[in-house]
Amino acid sequence: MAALIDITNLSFSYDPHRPIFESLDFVFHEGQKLGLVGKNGAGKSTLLQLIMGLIKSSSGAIEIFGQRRSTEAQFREARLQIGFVFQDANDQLFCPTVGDDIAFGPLNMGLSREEADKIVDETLALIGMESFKDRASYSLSDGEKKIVAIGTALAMRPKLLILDEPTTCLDEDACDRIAQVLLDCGLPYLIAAHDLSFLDRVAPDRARLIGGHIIYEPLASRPDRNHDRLRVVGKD
Amino acid sequence: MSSLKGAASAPFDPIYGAFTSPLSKNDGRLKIILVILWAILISALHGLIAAFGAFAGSLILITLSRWPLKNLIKRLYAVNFFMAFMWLMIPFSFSTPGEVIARLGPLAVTLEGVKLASLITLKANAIVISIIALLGTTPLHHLAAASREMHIPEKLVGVFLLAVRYFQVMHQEYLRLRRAMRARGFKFNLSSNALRGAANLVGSLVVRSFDRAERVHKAMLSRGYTGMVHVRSAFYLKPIDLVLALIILALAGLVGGLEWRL
Repeated sequence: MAALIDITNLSFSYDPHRPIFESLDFVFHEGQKLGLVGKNGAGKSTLLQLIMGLIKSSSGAIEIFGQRRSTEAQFREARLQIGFVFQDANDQLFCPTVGDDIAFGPLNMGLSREEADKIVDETLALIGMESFKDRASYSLSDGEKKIVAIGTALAMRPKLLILDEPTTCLDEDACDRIAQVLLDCGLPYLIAAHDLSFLDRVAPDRARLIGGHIIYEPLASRPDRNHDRLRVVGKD
Repeated sequence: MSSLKGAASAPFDPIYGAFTSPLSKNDGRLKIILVILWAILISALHGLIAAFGAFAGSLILITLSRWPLKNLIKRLYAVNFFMAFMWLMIPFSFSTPGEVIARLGPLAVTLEGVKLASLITLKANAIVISIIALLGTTPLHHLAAASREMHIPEKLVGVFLLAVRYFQVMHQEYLRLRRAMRARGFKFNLSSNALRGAANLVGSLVVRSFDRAERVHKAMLSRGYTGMVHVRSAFYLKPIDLVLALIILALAGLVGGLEWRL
């Protein structure tokens, strides 16, 4: 399997006295559905933003889609092929209507208004929100906002989705809908989350960030595995 | 309860176009041009009768827009709050000398002063009412698209769109912080403790808005932002636009006739 993301020897710190990563290695393969877990402050969001080039590392190499990325132009080229969903949907939705928000990415990719409109309709159908096209983004519920935010990422026809805490503060119905959208989209994805039962449903692979390093956890070795399994079965 | 109410009438929300007015369908570009012309005409008026005419004309426009009266009064309250300060100065002989018509203690009220204050009040209200009637009934994205088509710089349009969107977010942030403060027994008064609390509230709003601006910018970069906020626009002049233009031009003609005695 080809690696979509290949990070080697990455170092990063917000505060030089307390480095977040020192020589971190991380690989994400094609077709993978990977859950990224770790304590608060372990650096999950930081790692995701480093991958997107939204913050810059102090040293190390980031390869995305087989190419080395270090300049803004190189990251921009990669970003257009990655759907990134932020933790707070309010950060992501800023256009007057849902339709405008979903069209924003495709238009930035240079598509025409008609092509973008077509993608908007297809995306809304995919996320099951056809009737929301002209609704004001700000007036949606938190669950609807999050699903639209995922839609804005999917509308860019990405090769890969990255989601930061997609289920925080959402009710079970919204989580179910997000899980369904993720399972239906047919893309590889990387999800940072604390919600293990959600991850068990959508992301069979697991990586744990601990002490600034990634540890891949095979299915059998997870201590919380049985507990979560019961919860999932119980809920269904 | 809210769902029953919601079914009966959409919430009053002119900014994002949930409020539909008979004037909502009009071309945004035309409304911007008409409101500019109407406001320039009003600001040029000197005669009290013509100003009355302009005020009546604006009232006709707001009636056509079916803007809720309660909300209109609330908005005019803000304008006339400033007018009240003017009424404390201008009617008196120390600022506008002239024929004395009344005395308030040592102060003399002049006819010219009262006329001037009335003129300013009428003109200000007439302009604001017409802006509410014409621009208030234009959904935000139409206003942005219309500004763009009128070659207003891209950056200004983008800033305008983002500002309106995030005023609401900031306001909610403010309400959330206020609630959290009240939950811990905060009460605003002039004690040093309360003032420090209020200063902290403002400070953390500034810090949070800065943080949020950074996150929003990152989210925009993630979707390939290069400096252009696209909004859908589909403007074409329709018969109702012609009707609106004729109404406003006719009103302008009448007001101009009153002013210049044609």
